[in-house]
Amino acid sequence: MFLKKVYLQWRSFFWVIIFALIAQFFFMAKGIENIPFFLYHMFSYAHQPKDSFNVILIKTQDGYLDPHELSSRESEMLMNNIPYFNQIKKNAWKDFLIPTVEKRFGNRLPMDIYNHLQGGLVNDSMAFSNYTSWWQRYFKRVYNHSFDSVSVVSGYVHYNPGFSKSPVDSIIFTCRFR
Amino acid sequence: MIAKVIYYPRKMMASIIFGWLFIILIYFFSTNSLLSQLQAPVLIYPGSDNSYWLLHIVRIPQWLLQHFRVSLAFDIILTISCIVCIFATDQRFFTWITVAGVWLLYICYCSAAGKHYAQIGYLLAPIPFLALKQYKFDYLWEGVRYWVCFLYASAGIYKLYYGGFTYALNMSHIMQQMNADWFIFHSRGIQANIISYLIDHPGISQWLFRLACLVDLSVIIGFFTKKFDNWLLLALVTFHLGNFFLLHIPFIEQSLIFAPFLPWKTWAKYFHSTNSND
Repeated sequence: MFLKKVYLQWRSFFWVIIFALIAQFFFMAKGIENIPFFLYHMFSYAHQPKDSFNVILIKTQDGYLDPHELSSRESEMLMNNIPYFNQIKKNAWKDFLIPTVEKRFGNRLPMDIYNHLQGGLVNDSMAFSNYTSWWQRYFKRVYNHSFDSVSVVSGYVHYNPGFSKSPVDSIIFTCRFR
Repeated sequence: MIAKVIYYPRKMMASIIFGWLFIILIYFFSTNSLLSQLQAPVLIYPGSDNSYWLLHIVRIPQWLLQHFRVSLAFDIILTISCIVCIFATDQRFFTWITVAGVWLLYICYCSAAGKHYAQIGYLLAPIPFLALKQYKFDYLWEGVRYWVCFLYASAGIYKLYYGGFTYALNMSHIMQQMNADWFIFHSRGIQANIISYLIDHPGISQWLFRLACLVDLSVIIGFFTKKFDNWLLLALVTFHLGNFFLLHIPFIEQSLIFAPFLPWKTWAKYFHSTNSND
């Protein structure tokens, strides 16, 4: 009914809707998220049991800092890029996106254009080396603190039942303020 | 007898929606998440999303994020445009700037944060106001409403299709995962007790999951009638409050997604609001 009315009164918008519907189903079938054509899984998969859960924490001389004290926007910006940084660090500083860029554009474009495209999509060595300095600046902005240094650590939490944190942490990086 | 067509009160809606968006921008400012407050992030994360790729290839997010004066100008222009849209409802120029601005803000923030968030309510609701003609606005607004219906309905179908609905321990496992770091700091209190109880009683928590799935699926009604929009709105707000309480998923940015279910036409009658001049 809606589409019929749109077709009769505003033909161009009708075709935009049809195109958007086809795009949505295409991207759903391909499993590609393509804003605003989201795949709103909303926890739809059956989540299997896990022995432990990896957590990223900020460790100070007074103990761990609670990221939930910050607003969600601040804690997302501060904490969510750390696993990405850590994975790339473990991958010998090679961005995970390089194979995807290669798959999409490799051997299809002249080398200089390909290099230009890749340069816009993947993080280079300069970005990785400047990451901890940026993190330190943003940390200072969102936390009112007087710490000499803080470490970002990776640890594990078990559930058996009740949550318990493993005492062993591995340091991802340390920031010194004084 | 000819049925009288009741239009959406475009002017009143523009003031409210852009006022709402302005509050969201204030929230971003108060939480250090406008572009100029991000301290020039260095990592980018375009993922495999074509929209992100296009903008990153032409270096727009990098340019906005890396230059403080540019990002400050961006934040100021976006905020002023949004304020103008609250009061000047029959223009397109500032609406375009606001719509483009929030989309750029979203992509830059997600790229720097290393995660593509699905909180896009504030990106969609302003779009219909790009139309000045009343009938075009009405179709765009209804289009956004159908899109929101599709969003939740597809989420419900996914939960059935991928087996989350039938797996008896699903919600308990989701809660373990989502609360692992939260419990390090909040192991006591009513909220912690309720979450622990639900994790330890998977039967009960899974029925909550199934209830959430039914809420998602109930939005299918919205494709056929607007009679139940108040109930759908109540169900969706409850659903998001539940997510916030049990899984710590906030929805302030997403809150504008509820706007299409508000009783705008009833309010218009009550406040005698007029439509667009066009």
